[in-house]
Amino acid sequence: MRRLVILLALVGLPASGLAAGGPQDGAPAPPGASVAGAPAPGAATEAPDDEELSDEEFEDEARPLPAIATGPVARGRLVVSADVGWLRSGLRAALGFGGGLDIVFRGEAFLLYDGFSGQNGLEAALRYTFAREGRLRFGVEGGAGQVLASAEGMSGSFTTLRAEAVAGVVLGFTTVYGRAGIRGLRERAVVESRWGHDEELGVGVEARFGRVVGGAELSRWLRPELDGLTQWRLRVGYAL
Amino acid sequence: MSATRSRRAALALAALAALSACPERDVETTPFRIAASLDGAPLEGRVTEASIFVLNGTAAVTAPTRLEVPAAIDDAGTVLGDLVLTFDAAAAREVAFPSQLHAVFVRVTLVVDPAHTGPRGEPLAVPGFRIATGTSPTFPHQFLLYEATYADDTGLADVGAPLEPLPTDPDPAQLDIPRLTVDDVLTTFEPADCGLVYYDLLQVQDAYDGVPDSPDDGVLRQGERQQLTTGDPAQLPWTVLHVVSWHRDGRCAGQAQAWTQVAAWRPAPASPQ
Repeated sequence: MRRLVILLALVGLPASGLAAGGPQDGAPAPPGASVAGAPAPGAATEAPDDEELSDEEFEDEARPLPAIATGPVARGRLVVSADVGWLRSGLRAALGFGGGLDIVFRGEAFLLYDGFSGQNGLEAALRYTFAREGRLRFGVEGGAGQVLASAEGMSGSFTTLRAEAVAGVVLGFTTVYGRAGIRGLRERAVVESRWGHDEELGVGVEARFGRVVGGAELSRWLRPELDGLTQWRLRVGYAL
Repeated sequence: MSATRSRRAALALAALAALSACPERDVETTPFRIAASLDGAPLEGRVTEASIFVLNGTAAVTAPTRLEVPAAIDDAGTVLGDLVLTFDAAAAREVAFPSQLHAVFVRVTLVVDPAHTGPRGEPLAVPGFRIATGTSPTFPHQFLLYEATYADDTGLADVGAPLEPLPTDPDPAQLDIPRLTVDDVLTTFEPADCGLVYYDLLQVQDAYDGVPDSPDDGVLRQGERQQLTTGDPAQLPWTVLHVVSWHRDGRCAGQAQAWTQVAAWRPAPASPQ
């Protein structure tokens, strides 16, 4: 029951975000298209300092469309997001440096499974998006993190290193993407320490509604010597 | 609300309900189910608490997982009866009584605990045994099996008797079996019904035989094996197989807190041509 309540609360977030963001007159213009009454693409090359941009102004600027799984984030801008899923749920913030480079912070927990009693991770990563114009998106990401694990009678932590590639196609106000990542896990035992690893393959879709981004992802967690686990996530984000 | 909107809402709720049915998964554990009997009667019927039995005699390996010692005697020479020792190799098909145990004098050291239970609470009255050959005080060991749900203070599986020096050993300081210790790493787990089940590592050392730590010492994940030299250098090295070890962070009624399962054997010496 707790899982369903959390899911419904998350689903409610995009709706509230839409309501707060004002009326939505259909889908945002696709990349490169001009909107009647707005400057042509390329004319507005500098983002105004005004932080109170309307959703339409935000869309009309010559800046990357907001996204969560794919980059980039406009320079100096932030995309914050929350996701809930099985097995992992979490919070994430991506800050744009410009030139396709973002720094991404994320925190994750097994929220639906056992709240914060399982494995809670923090990670910082750099993401570089090679293809960031037109319909195609392609980027790579590398990060390091720490996972805090607690169990009956013990607790501990281990270091993770992660590398990931993301490829996406922008179709109007949606982006369909696939990603593949590998994660190294530092195993510390009394006699020796060594690196283990696992992999993750995922496909997902994101849709933009002004500054709000919603998405869903299905992934397979591949674990050497163990059966894989199918995971899913529902995401909602907001571009600041 | 229009019918279309209602339908979409219903579909969304159905999708959420389906998603909330999350795929929990438990560890799969297949015990060796070691059984020991004397004259057909289970050994656990002779004791009321955990006890160590030492039986000696000429062995016959009558099947890969069955060893018989007719007219087995204790260390005082008293005949205790015909010993039959069996196990189920479903968890590791390569595990079998080594052929070098056949038709030679053996020394079987085993623990019998009538109260010991397995991963699902099933009775497992014989957590483990080790078998040595010869008559010298050092008794070179050839084979050992161990599986237990005993847990230490930290919740990890505890490897105890008979895989440790015992007062019944002629020379405990020269025990030539690998020293096995369970250690946690928290990196691999299954999301089981009542909490995470962590797969644990098995440390393998040659610490009992008085020889300094060797490069053979290592750490095994589940399903991994390692060769290790202990005791008399003339003996062939051990192969240690870590079947699986785990501990639970939260458990349902009837489930064990921890588990370890291991086998080790020396290969049969090459027969002279």
